[in-house]
Amino acid sequence: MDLTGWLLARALPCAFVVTAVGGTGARLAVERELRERGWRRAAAPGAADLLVVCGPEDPDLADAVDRVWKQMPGPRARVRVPGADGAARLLDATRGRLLDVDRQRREAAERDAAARERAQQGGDEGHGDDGEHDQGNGGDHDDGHSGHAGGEGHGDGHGHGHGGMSMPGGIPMADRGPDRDGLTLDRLHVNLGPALTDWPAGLRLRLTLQGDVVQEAEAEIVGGAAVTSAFWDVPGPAAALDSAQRLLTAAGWPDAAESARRWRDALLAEPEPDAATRRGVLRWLRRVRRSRVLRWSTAGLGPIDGPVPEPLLGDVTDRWSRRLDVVEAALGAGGRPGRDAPADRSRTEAAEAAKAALDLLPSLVTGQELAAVRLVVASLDPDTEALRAHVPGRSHD
Amino acid sequence: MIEGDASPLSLLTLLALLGALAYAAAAGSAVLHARAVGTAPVAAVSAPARESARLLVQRRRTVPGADALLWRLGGALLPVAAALAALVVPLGSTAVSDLSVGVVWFNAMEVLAWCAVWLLGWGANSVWGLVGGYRFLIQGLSYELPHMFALITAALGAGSLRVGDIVAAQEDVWFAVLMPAAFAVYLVSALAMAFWGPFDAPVGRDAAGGAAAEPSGADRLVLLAGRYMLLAVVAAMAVPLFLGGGAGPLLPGWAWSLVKTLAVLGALVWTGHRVPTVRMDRFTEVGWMVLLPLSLLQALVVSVLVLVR
Repeated sequence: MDLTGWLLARALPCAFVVTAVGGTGARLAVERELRERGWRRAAAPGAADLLVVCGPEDPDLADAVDRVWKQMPGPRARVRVPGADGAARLLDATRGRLLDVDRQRREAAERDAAARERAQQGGDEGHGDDGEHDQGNGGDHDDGHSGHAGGEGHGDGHGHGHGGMSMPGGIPMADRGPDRDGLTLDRLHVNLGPALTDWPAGLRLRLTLQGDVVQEAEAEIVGGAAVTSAFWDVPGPAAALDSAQRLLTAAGWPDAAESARRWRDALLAEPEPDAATRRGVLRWLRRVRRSRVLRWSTAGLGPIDGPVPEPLLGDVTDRWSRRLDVVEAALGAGGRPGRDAPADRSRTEAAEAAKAALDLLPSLVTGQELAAVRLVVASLDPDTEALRAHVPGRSHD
Repeated sequence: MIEGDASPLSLLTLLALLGALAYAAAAGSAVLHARAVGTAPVAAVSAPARESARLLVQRRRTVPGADALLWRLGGALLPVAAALAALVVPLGSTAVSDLSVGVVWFNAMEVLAWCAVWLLGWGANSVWGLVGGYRFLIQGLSYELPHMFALITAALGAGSLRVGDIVAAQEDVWFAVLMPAAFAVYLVSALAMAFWGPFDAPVGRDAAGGAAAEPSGADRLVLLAGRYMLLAVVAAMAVPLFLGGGAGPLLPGWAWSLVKTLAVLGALVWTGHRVPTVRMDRFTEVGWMVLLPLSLLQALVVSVLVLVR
């Protein structure tokens, strides 16, 4: 075995996980598998070597997934995990493909050849192994300067400029506009999602950024037209933990987020949690609640009042506190967690909360910087599956 | 492991030591992660090595429109900055170079990290990289002045910018005791400098990895290694500045230096896992309203002490 193969076999894969609407069950299974194997979840495609797409085949999502795939450096392998069953087997098979050195070499050579060809045709400087035209990572960065800003002129060599060259790498320059401080700054058009980690499935937030401050925002849901049922049918403590792990990840506390995922999976596996699980969850609750830094970091962000569903009220801190309360109440009650509400009602409630959250989102994130945007979205955590499944005929276009 | 008691500390020994400390920090972090996840912590000790294996095989990426020179330079600058800063850090009583302006040299090399992360973020021609770069600039504006004042306070206490003199001045009482606020500010700014734990916003997951979103393969390996080296070197510098250098009973000086360095490094890594990221706008407030006045006040108190003595 040559050195490359030897190193590859010792490497722990790093997966970039994309979730389609309707893929929550698959995502949970995949996250659990990754955690138990000690495989990491990448924050960006550039860092990953496995692309895992969770959920049903969705043509609307295909474009975003392909962009992510193009940004992965290789050796690489991709897989779609349609449902919770068989996640382990699929991941094993995918790693097998990743370890196939001959296959990886062949694919890399093909990519290089294709990129060279494109570079010759295009006549501009070579784009290395991909020639991909994606700037942003994680979310599919819209190269929609053409789509969004085409008519507004493209700067003049400021910004990412290289002297007077107007199109570095064939990408139009950013246009400019006045910002909140009266300066003229570059406007960048960025899409957050749908192929973004730790992000509600299928949500796409179209942002116009100046620096890292949002000037304009639009929210929509990509895909999920065929989804008929939501995974969190009756939201209980596991659903609350799932939301909490997302918020903790956005808040930059990976340890607490990992623990939340661990206890979420434990609660899903055993609806009647044993003493050890109960203790673990309570310890986690105490730790998160006691964190002054977290409270201080999220306080005052994304305030909502007025006639909205109850889970959305307050600021980011209020919303995550309420989720922790749900977990604690379910555990403290001693009975089967979260099975008391009638399913029909909670379904409609979840869908209505998601719809209200989506409607409010643009106004909440405008004027905020990206870190705050992530926290606000994670605190609202719209259940896009419930929205697709239980509000028939609604489309966000 | 490594013999540090050979009379003059050789450059090679220093680099090996720095590498070992950086690996220890990465492994420690992996162990803490494994504990949170609920997997075997022992297996996590090899995690940084396995990640290195992965990155060695991974191909380098090129991003269209990237300023390749600055981009790659940014990542490579981090370990270089850490190694250069380490030159003046004494192991026991010997440093590779005990410059007469050691503290200034150390600070100047650290500041290279500022430049490195910004270049890394800006050069990648990516929104995420740019956002990460912005964040580190703001972070730098908030931690750098308090950090400098903390360093200067230690130098002030010894009346010298030479690191050896600062260690010698702590014969009776450690500066950590004499100037606790400066020590605390140093530790906080050390975390910020290595963009670690509560200050990891520049490479935050919420920005898809920020300044570190785009590099892959060897570039990424150098970047991550450089970051851990930086963490190790700021931990190591806390020892001669505030913790009496190699002073201690029974063990030789170099061993005490190592033990103390590992303790500080361990504390920094642990803190990184316990505390969520501090949002930049909030940290700026603290940096300018709390840390800066605090470090100035500490400098004033120490100046008066020095004058009176």
